[in-house]
Amino acid sequence: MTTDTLLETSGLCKHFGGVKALDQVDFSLAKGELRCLIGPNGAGKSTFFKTVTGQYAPTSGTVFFKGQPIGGLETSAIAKRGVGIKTQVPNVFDGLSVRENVWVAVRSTKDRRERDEIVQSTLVRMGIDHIANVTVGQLAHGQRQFVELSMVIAEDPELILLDEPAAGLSSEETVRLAEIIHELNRDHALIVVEHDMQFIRMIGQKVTVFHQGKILVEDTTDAILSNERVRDVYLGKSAA
Amino acid sequence: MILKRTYIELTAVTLIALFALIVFPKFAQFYTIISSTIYVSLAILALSLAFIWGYGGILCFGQAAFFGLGGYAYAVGAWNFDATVYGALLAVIVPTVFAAALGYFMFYGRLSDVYLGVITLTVTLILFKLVNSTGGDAYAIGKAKLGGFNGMPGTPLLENPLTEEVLSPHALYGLAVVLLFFSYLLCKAVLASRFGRVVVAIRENETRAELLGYDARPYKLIFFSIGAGLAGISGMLFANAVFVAPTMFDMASTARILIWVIVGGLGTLVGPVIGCISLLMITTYLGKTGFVDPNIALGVILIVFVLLVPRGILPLLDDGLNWVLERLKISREKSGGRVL
Amino acid sequence: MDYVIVLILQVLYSVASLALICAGLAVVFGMMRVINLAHGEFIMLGGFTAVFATQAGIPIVISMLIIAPFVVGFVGLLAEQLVVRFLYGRMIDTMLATWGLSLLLIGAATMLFGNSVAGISAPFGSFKVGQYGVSFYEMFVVAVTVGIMIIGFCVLRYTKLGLIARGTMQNPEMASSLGISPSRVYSITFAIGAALSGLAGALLAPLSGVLPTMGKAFVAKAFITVISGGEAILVGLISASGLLGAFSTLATFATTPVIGDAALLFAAIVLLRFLPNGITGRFFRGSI
Repeated sequence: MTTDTLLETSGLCKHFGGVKALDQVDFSLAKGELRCLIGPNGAGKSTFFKTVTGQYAPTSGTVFFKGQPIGGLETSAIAKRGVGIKTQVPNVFDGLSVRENVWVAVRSTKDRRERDEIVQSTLVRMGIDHIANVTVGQLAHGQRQFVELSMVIAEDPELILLDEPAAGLSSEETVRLAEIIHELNRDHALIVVEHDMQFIRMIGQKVTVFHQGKILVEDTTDAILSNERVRDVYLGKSAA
Repeated sequence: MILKRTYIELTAVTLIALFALIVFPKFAQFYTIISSTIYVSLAILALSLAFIWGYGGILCFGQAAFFGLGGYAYAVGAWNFDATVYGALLAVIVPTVFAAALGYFMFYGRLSDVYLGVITLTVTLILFKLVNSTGGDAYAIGKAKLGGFNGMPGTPLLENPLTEEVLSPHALYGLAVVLLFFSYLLCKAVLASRFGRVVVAIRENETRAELLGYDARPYKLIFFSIGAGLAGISGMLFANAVFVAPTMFDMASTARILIWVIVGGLGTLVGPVIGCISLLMITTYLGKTGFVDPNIALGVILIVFVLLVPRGILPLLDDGLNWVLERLKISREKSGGRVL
Repeated sequence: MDYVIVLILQVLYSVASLALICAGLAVVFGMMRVINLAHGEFIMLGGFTAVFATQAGIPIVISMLIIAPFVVGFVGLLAEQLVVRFLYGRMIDTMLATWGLSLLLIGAATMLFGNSVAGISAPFGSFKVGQYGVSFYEMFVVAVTVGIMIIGFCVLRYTKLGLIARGTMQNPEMASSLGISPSRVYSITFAIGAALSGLAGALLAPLSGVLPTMGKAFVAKAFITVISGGEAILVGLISASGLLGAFSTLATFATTPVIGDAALLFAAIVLLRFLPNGITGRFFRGSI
């Protein structure tokens, strides 16, 4: 492990009964890197995220974040060290307003005024300040995605995990999302799980392909898109 | 809009508190003052459950346990210390510490709602049995004989710490009103704080809160303990207005607290207080006439509200008020349009 | 030596009576994930039924083993049809509504039967172990409890009803796929649970006396034992009753019955801290 490494797993396994959802995953992410994860359904991408964030305890293997072991820690403890996630299904506080949602996400300061400023600037940056006082439960799916994304941005973690952020977004919203991701990448490391190859092309630099709980191959976007093995397991249907 | 609503609520509550404190005792009869003291002290109990269940989402079927512990802690303290005010302090400390210990097992075991309800209820019932079995001289803490089934009548009453005079029934009533008001303000202040907002967020979505770096367990534990402390204050006042007895831990005692909250409206603070006082008046009346067993009335009310009015009365009134306001606005716009 | 035998018999009786008062609750919880807070009142109704039937001249064993379960089972069916079935999937509301039912039944019983203890004397007499007297009736209660467990096991394991029941426990849609509506399974389950509670109340009536408010003497133990057992009905019930019943009886022998109850509760809370899903949530998984 070099000092430039932000996240590293070695021999990471997660089994459910007899199913090996993660099987000896050795993964490494540099500081400030933007990485895409792809793979067919059930390849282990979401399980990988949940193991990194502590929602699942690893069956075996280690997870290092900033050189510290975090495998098996409480979810909140891992989040405090600087791992933020936007989950696959919008995971928000439905009974609270948009502003309150983002307000809760700010942990960097205890000062009320500073907090309010961070909240306001995040809302403006994400273009949702006009719905700031609406209860989140009443919003459409796409807007809820942006609310959750705003929460992660307001939280300002060193590593941002995005699980299918483009799902259910309009094409306009998708373009906007790609811009946001590039913007975030200036001072954050990101891992993005995505199905939409179009979207991967928009944001992609380096791509890791998961298959049956293992890392199949890791390469640049272009190389991955022309890789035969990847086509066989996954792209055969959707990249045509 | 939200701020305005909070402002209206605070003003209304303050006005009612001032009325209850200054105007009401001028014309109320002596007997009414005494029963009002009981109602107000129990209203704090309703408030405590409204707080932890309505905002913290903590399903506590054992609020009566903290109420009873508060009452008994006061009684034991009042018998043993020179100044009864130390008993009052004990009445807050004992339930809070007990709740923290119980909460450790429940929240750190990450037990679900249903289990929480069952455990808190069970704790209450066992405490009832324990206290009920303390008859005889063998069961005494210092000078305080626990008295088993008979409770502890004749416990020294609260004194004014400055003059060392025992509080008159009117003064006790005034103290109860003031404590209810400040308990309400405390709840409001906690909910407006960062801590309170995080607790509400945890109730909304615990996973999300944890993914944002908030460990739900200590938040719930502290919130739960605050509610227990409030219930302890209620028990202390009750011990002064009536006297402590094992029925404070009774299953019926804990059930009616839930009923007050459900009838008044879960997720509000004012509703359960209203629910508490109005239901106490109804059950007292029923008890006097002896026509229907109060348990039947409470049972039917609980079933009917859960099945038909699950949100309680206050949200219903709120909806009604909004509906009327909307109508007024529409008709004003219409008539305004005609003039122009 | 005699003392040890008596102690063992006492532990046996305590465990059996604990399992008995939990059985109805465990069936409803295991099958429907419903905590029935009117459980104690079903026990109370069973007690009253047995007392009245016996006083009316029906042989005591018949009033206890047949009439009480039927009457209370019918009350349970009514309660399910009128209240509980509107609340499936809303666990907390179900608990609250059944609590309302509990208060209603206590109030009704107080008005109808009065607030005094009714009782029947225990049949069968007693036998001697050395210098200690042991009641035959307590051993009869143990035998009936063992009988219920065996019947329960056979029904769940070998009959179509048991297959449906186990299916519904795993997955409510499974019952639909077998051509039976889950709502019917739930009605029947609730009635069977109530009948078992009625049976428990009837069997305990000669020992404890019957009173409108007697339910609360049992429910605390019953609730905590059932959730400590976890979701598998039989194994959970037997393991939790065995563990907690034995522990509390030993504590009772060392101190007083009330301390014994408190010890049971304390043991259960510590147990749930480390096994939040109960004993069968960790051990004996997939059992019935």
